Amino acid sequence: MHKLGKLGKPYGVLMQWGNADVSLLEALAVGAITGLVTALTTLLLATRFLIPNMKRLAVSWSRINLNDLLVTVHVAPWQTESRTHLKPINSLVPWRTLLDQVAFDPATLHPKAAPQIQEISLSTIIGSRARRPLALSLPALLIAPYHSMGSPIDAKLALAQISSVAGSAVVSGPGPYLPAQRAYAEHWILQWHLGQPGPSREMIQLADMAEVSLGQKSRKTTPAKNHKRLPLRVKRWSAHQRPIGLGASSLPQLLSQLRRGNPDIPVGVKILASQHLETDLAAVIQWAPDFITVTGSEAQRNSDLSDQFGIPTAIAIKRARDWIDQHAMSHISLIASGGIVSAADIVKLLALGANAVNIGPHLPWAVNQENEASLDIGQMALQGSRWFDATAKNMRVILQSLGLEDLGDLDRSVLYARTNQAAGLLGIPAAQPPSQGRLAVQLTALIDEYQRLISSLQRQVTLLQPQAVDSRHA
Amino acid sequence: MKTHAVVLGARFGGLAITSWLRRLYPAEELDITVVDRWQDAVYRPGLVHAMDQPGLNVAKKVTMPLSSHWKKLRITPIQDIIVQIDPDQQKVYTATLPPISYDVLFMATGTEPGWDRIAGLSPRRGGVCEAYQARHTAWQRQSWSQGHFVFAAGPIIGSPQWEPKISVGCECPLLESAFLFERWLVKQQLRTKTQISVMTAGSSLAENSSPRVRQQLTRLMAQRNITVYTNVQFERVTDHDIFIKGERVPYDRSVWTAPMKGPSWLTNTKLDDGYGWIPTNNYMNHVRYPNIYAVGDGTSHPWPKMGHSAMVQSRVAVHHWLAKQKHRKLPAPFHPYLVWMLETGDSHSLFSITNMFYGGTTDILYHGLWPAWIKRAFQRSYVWSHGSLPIMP
Ligand SMILES: Cc1cc2nc3c(=O)[nH]c(=O)nc-3n(C[C@H](O)[C@H](O)[C@H](O)COP(=O)(O)OP(=O)(O)OC[C@H]3O[C@@H](n4cnc5c(N)ncnc54)[C@H](O)[C@@H]3O)c2cc1C
Repeated sequence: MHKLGKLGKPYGVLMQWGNADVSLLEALAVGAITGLVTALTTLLLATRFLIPNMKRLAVSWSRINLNDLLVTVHVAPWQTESRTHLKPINSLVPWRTLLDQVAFDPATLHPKAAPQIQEISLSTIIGSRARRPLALSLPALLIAPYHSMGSPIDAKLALAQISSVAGSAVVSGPGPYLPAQRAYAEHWILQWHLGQPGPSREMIQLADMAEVSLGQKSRKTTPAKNHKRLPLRVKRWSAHQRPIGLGASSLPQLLSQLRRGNPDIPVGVKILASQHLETDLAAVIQWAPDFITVTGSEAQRNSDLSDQFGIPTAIAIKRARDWIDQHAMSHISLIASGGIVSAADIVKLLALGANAVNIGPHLPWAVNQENEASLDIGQMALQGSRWFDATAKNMRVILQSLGLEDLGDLDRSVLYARTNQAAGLLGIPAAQPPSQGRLAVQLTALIDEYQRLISSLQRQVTLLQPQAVDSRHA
Repeated sequence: MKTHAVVLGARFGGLAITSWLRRLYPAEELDITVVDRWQDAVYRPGLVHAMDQPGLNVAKKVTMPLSSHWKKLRITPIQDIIVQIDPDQQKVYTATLPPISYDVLFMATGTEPGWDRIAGLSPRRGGVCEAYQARHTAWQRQSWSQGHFVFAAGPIIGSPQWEPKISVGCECPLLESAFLFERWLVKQQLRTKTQISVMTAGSSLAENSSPRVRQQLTRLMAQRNITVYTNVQFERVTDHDIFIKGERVPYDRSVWTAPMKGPSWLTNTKLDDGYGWIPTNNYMNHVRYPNIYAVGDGTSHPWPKMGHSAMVQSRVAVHHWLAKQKHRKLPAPFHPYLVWMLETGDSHSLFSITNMFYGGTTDILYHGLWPAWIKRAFQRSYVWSHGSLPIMP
């Protein structure tokens, strides 16, 4: 119990706050200080982040939710300069995704000294058993936003150009086939939605990898067509109608069509991460895919119901990796998709078990360009390349801090959970004792701080009192 | 019945072919279809200014939107990737569209960058050969502060039958890039902090020019303190080292012209020489198919792989076809010669016309201001006219 000082005595009104007894005056003083600090912080944020990005925010407002907005604000500076810091105001973002509840455990004295940053490799191989596996210098497969309002074609072409200079690959994505997209991209991934009429043999031959995305039929003819508020990825999934493996004959047909069309390249399947993920994996595995892409619930926030479907990307990857390893299928590459916006996100997902990630739809420059008529393909490509350049650098910085030289060395031991919830869900150690939640810890720290402040004020008041008496006598 | 000419490729060669065809044949007499994977054409010689000008400007200045041009010339454009040609059925196949039938076929499909020919090489190592690469290279150059900058030209994977032998395809832009970068560094007061190297698979600098041109170039390189490696056999490239036979060269940044090879899709047709190159006679007529012509970089010859050659060959090809059709006197065949306007920075260019490498005696060389002015004027009018210059070479 906190011992009351002189200051609180005359008022005699006590308040219970956490495990501390506080007088009304103390509470008012604390309130005033808190208000001041909040006002100052807001002012600082406004000048540092909000005002410079006002235009960006304005165009983002109608399209993305509050979390995305905060992310936009703090990622925006990367577009113009390749800063190497990570998420400067991350602490103000209330856990954007489950991944934010995970942090890296840096190498200190143990396990080993950090390697030279230049020597760190970000390369990865997808579909190692294919005759022509996909070798990437950056484990990010670029994909354009699905619901572009501006020119989705420009976005696709810009992403293709970015993928070539970044050493990654571009996913053809939905919409019409674009010859220029293929021509720009060093590595082009043909994505085909189940339900679409099959791609031409020639198109398949142009691809470096092919992916069947379950299960888009024409949205006009799907049972989900009237559910306007359903997220796109769920509509696609429900369009598939029947559970995979139980009569969805067109999936194996499409896979074998792709294989016949181009027997050299990796062929895989993209699935929605559901609570029965393992059953889906078991079904997909029958058709011997070279890779599986798992889309988590953070993908495509295109409706207010988005977050209500499926499981988060991080959990999906953890579970999918566990399942794949348990079934001795580690030759099947695992690709994470959904809500990935930073170098830290990529490295965390790789540590959780992914071999590569889909990235693009959530990137602020990719989202915002839709509304910025003035941004042409060239400008978009340049902004995107800068972003990827900075992201690759940041990934190297993270690996260096973990004492690793290669992405292949990543595993879950480099991660720890900032919350017990994340620890439980992802099977990684928690940073704090089980009973205390994050909010409780912060509140306790705040109260401690105030208590220190109050006692120092009391000391000063005590010091001032005898001095006043002395001077009267002088 | 109207004749149908199909032109494959719409850059130096393809644009010159369409221009000549329309000059010689009215739309009532000849239907022309042009197929290319791009919607716009790029005047690539201008891309070397990625080394001394802002990238976005450079790319914009050299991009030629073609749709109104095609409309004006009454030409049907098709944007798709060509995957197959059946010369017996006289059909061109693209990735997604129905086959295109032709009466006469003009091929100007150039070469393919052989990034995969050197381990670790890819477009991300830097380059100026496409607009998006040049833009990116320019942006990277702007943040350059110090270190070793390498300009590297990969080999040409030609046919063993070529005589005289050439070991590199397109070195000109690389040398220009190095010179322009050097001058830019001087202006930025970064020259003393930068080591510049030029590495070429060529047996010497500008191997298909003349001894005088080579000497002049070597002298210029030495004056500018640029280290030159010739006859380079590239083995492997990593983020920090270029491994050439017997040597590891550490570097910080690079600009490459990729190894040059014949397009791989051509090897599935009956048209190539077995190595992806299209064999023609000196009238640019295919050696086996009289209604097929090929011009430019993709032909199976050790001739200069230059825009100028592609334009001259286009004139020869179209006039040859016209002469055959209308039973006229055949035009003069193509004789290879090199025309260079190599920018050396400070608004100077090295101008040379020579055919000595190909057994001739012409050897003109001049280094100064006016070749640079001519080059600039040529670029402006080329881009303005979409490659259909009032006076064609
Ligand atoms: C940076 C740079 C600077 C240069 N500077 C000079 C210079 O100063 N002077 C000079 O004379 N030369 C210069 N050159 C060389 C010159 O650009 C080439 O020699 C010239 O472009 C060759 O013309 P082309 O028509 O044969 O082929 P290309 O220009 O390569 O054109 C081929 C066209 O065919 C299309 N195509 C190919 N395959 C397919 C397919 N499967 N499907 C659909 N379309 C296809 C391509 O998209 C392309 O548009 C330079 C080259 C570069 C890269």
